[in-house]
Amino acid sequence: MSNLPSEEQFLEANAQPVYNLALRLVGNPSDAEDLAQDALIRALQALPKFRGESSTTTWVYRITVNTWKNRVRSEKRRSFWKTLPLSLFLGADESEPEMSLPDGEPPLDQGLETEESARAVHEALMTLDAESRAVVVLRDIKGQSYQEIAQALDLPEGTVKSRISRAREALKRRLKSFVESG
Amino acid sequence: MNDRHVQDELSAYIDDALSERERRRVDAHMEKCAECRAELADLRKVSTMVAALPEHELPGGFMARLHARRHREEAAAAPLAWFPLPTKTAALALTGVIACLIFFREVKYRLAPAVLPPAAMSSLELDAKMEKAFPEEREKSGPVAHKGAWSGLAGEDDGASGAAAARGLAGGGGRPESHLNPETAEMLMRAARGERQTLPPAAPPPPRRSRIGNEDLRRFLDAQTKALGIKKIIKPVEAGPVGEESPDQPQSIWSGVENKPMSKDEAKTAMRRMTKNLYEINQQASWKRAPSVPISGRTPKLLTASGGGATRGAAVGAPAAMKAADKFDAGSIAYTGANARSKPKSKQSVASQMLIVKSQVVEKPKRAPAAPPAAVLGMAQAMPAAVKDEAGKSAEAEAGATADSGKEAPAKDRALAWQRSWGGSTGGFGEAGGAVLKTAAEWADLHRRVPFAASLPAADFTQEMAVVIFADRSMTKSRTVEVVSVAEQEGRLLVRYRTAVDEAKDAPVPSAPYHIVVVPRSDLPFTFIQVP
Repeated sequence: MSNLPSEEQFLEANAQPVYNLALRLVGNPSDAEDLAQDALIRALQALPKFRGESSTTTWVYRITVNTWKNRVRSEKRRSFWKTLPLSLFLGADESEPEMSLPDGEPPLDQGLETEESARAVHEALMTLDAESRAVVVLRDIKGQSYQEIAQALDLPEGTVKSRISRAREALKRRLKSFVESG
Repeated sequence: MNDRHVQDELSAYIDDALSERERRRVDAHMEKCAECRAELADLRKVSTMVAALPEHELPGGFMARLHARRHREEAAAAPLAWFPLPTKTAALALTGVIACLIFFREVKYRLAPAVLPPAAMSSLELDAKMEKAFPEEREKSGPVAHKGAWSGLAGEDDGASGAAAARGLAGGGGRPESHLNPETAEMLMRAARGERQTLPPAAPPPPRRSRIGNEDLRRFLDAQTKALGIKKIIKPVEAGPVGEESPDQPQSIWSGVENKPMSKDEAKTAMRRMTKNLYEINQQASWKRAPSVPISGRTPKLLTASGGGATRGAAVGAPAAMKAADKFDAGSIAYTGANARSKPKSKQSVASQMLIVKSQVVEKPKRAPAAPPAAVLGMAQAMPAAVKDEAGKSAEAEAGATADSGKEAPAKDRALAWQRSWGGSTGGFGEAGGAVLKTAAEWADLHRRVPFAASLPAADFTQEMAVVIFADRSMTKSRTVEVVSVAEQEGRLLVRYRTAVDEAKDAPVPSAPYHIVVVPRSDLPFTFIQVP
């Protein structure tokens, strides 16, 4: 316990990774900042009780993902009867990814060299269900092991393995043109 | 077995998450299967594309907003955080005390039933209660219409058959004081006979609910107080001049009511008990608070204040006086105003004989007060016309025999000097009447009924006599009565008295006034005259 980082050290090391994780989970900067701050505050409050069973990064990712899952759950409860995807009524092609960016916000990853593919990947991620998105982001972006992901999401390792497999298959279908061209 | 595609394992293969055995199998299969090799390449590319998503810098001001938000949330979680610890502790303790007070008060009141009709005391209960309180009223089968000195001034009630029992109630069974008015007494009597529909619905119909609230109890008590004719709740006092309380008198409205959860029936019983307690406590309090006080500025002269032979002790004076007393005519006496518990069974007892019948009542000539009290009217009505003539015959006999006269008295009066006097606005019989007492037995009996001094004052009935006057009980006015003068005039004894209503009192209190004056003995026939 004596080697616990101070709050400043903890924030310096984890604020940006947490923000980027949140960004890939929720899809837009404003919601990402809100989620990241929420998760970091919870982590700071729980920091004195952190027992060091995993790295602080894995620990704070877990807090972030759980915070996000709770939000998604309560949001689903609130909006279940209020909003349904427009595609249900228009018979839109399921393969067409939904735009999750709020109005008035610039598209994420704008101006980058790989802007087009990055936007496509980001949008493809947004079409995944929450759990699949979380496992892929934690695995491919954050480099977490299957075991760490299983801890973070409180899932069996086998489930994590199959979820990652299915999520990559789904991304492959959505990013077909980029995959085949590359 | 080795021919089966390994697409399900390719993702874990990329992540190096397969066991050694699985990995060898996947490797072996892919050497032969171009489809799986292509799939592996696609998945690797997808993984690489996701991993290649750019890292974003924190938005400007992120950390500042983070700290501000954290501070806000912590303040919201602990609203008293900025108070010093002692203040927080004190506030917490105070809140706890208030919560406990509210809780126990609620618990107490929630024992009460939802609603009990104001006169819902059962007929049996009411009968039993009346039997206990006023036994003589229950024994009477009919009205008692006695004529005599005491009843002479209360003519309006004489012979009023139906009202006898109710009057007993209203008068507290002859006790010195009561707050029950005649209308309420009549109402209670009707209730006892089962005519409940005549009672005013002071409370709303009982709603169907299991919980009893404070408001229900307050409504109930208000209704009961109103139904009993109680205008003011009087706190009980420790001791009073009337020492006739029964040992089972309730000490509070809650006496006999257990503090425990009750069923609805138990709660109704408890509320009946509380109604009874309320009634009895108020009555006791009004009795106990009937003081003996001077009226109209006259200071009572008690035993030690006077001189001469009149100061002899009662034990010595009374037997001697009784022995020396003149014979007197017991006559027929109205007992309606007498104290029920001290009333002897025999009509010819000393107590009854005390009530002198040598009185004569004379209407005050040519006087028409603007608003004569009931007592005065009663006296006037009871006045036999013949008395005036008889009084007139002896008018000259004592004329000019004397001396001085009071302000009110004509020049021919010979005023008798007062030896001692006692008076009070409460504590009297509560019925208009006057008498002249000439024996020690009468004196003792009067003192027992109207304890005007701490102990029986001595009076020498060989040389003195007592003139007493009472006015009707008033439930709403502070009424007073006083003897203005006692004078011999034209062969008779004129007792001039005055009644008044003390309008100065802000809150009128029930009154049953009396005045007692000891004067030198005279054997002339007496006459009571009201003066303004």
